[in-house]
Amino acid sequence: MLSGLLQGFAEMGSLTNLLLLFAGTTLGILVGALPGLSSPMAIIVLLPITFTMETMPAFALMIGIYVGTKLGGSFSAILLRTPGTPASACTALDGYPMAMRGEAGLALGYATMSSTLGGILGWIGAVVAIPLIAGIALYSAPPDIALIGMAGLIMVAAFARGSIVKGLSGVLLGLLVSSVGIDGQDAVMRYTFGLTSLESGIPFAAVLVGIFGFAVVFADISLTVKGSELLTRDVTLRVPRPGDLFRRWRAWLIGSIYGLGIGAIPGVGADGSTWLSYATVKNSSKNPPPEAFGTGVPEGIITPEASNNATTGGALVPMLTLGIPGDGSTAIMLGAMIMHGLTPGVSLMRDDPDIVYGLLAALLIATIFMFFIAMGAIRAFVFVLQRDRNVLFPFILVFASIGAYSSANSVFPVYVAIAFGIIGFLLEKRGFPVVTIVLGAILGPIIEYNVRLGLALSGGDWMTFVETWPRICLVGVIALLLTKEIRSALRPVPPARRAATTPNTANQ
Amino acid sequence: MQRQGRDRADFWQGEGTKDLLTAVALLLVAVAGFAFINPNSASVYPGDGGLTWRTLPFGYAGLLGLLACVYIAQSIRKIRSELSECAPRPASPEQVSENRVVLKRRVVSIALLVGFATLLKVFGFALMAPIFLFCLFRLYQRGPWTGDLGLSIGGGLALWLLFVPVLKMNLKGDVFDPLTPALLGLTKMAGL
Repeated sequence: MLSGLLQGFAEMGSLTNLLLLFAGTTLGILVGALPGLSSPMAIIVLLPITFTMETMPAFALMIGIYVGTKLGGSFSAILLRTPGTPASACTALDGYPMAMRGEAGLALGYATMSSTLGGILGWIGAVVAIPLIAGIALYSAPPDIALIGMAGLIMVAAFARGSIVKGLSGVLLGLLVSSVGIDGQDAVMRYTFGLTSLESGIPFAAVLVGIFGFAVVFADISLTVKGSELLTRDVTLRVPRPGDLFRRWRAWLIGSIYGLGIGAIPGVGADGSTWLSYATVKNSSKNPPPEAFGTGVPEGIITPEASNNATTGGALVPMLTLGIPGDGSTAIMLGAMIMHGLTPGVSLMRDDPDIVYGLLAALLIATIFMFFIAMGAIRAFVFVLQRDRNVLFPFILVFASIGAYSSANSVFPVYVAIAFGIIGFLLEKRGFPVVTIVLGAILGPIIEYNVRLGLALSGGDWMTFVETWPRICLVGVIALLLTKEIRSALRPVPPARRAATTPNTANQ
Repeated sequence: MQRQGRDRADFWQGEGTKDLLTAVALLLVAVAGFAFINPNSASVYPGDGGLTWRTLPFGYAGLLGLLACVYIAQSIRKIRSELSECAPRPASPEQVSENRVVLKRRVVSIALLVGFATLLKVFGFALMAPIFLFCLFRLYQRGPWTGDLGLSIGGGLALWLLFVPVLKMNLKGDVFDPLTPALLGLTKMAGL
């Protein structure tokens, strides 16, 4: 493992890769700081550029963006009380009151330091967990792989925002999307409507561009009408003393552990982990007392920010070992792996260990870059926060269109992307977690191939799916999640709670 | 009295009605999943050789149909509950006007995007990108039109330089694209 990791660092240590990591992290912080723009969207925008690159440099850029956006989101949360990313919403609770007291620089300092610390702890967790899980996963047979894929989809549907009905509907839409084209085993056309463009399936890049690019712009066009006022224009980042940070070890340790653990659960990601860790630290805190949270205490920034960045390590664990993405960004990275000719899943560690270790090395380097970039260029980020969305959105639309176009060098994927953009926007407005469509589309072919292969090998005997203890456990997990979620979906919702959970379409 | 507070417009604006429409759309997708897979029939039952090409898509469509029915039931329950509640407070004229502007910008953005995609291979990226950017800047009321023009020409040119000479993408139009050959000639002359 150590030699593989050193090899990964050697590969990522080349000047080109370091420059791309640096550029990606800078861009990530910028994108994260701008409310309405997200990590998946930034990666989508850069798709046409990454298509032309070798695998490792392309992933250096993507990992940089992924890590950078995690911190960038806290900048606008602290300065505007408008979180740049959903995961940063929790940071606004204490970050904004600190900024109101004239301690914006210190609040940003705590956010930067704890993000870096959380990122490093998450990385350590990922480095330990990935070889272990990948080693076990290598022994899996087709039924195991199919069940792991199904369990991943059910988890995403169960834990994602919104109801299980909406989550599962998204998954099934994605699975139907993945069924379009020539069936790999029987060579029969499915859902092609006689169109040759659909014979090789719905262009995957177009689905990604539509759902994570166009749909987000369509939703956030309201930001071109409303502006946002920056709390303060003169911000200088103040680094907290190490003693101040280490005195609050519970906050960053709990945040990081939650981030790593919850980040590894597909579909939950950073959004869930920040709130859960914040609640844990708040409820068990003696100094400051729980009632002080929300008034601008450093613990209220340290906990969610450490958690937020620790999820980057956590989300890479299922992605690199099982081929199940933890969130939207890792879903796109999985898609990019397929476009670069790699086969994500249990065999990735065996077939392409250099990619796995390269990504791990990139994660740590990007986390360290993130710290220095934030420290050095805070004024530049604050300047960008004042820019209007009506300049950015037209350029994003051009980049996203060319991203779809370049996937097949034809206009057809652009039309598909526009269609998915409209569908994604409408479903998101109705509270559907649209990431489930993408995950269904990614995992659909893997599940179908392995289910059919498993059944063919067993002579059509369905008992093959409960033949071993791990398979029984996986089936048990699937059944448990489905039963629990369906029961809670069928339970009538009290009016007060219903009002609280109704999607706020204005912000979507 | 409260029930009478809701008129037809409120009904169509209600969350329950929107959910119902979404659920019906999902049901239609599920039905289409059965109807449009392929006119050639094949058994959906797995034999000794495993599943057929229709089994899993039919399974997905069936489950989606089932979920759509549950969603329809939930939506109807929601509509009934909304009907028994007071009529929502009407939005302020400013909010109504803002919503109208947002809707207009959304629809025109999509139309411009379709136009951009359609004309991309006719007139080429070099011509279409600045036009598309300019139209969007005007739509979003970015600033004075002279600034919009400068930004769209400058931005379009920068994007063309990135995509065509640097990333070597084929974004040339057909006979109606006079700009790409001219720009390529210029970049050659500049030694790029």
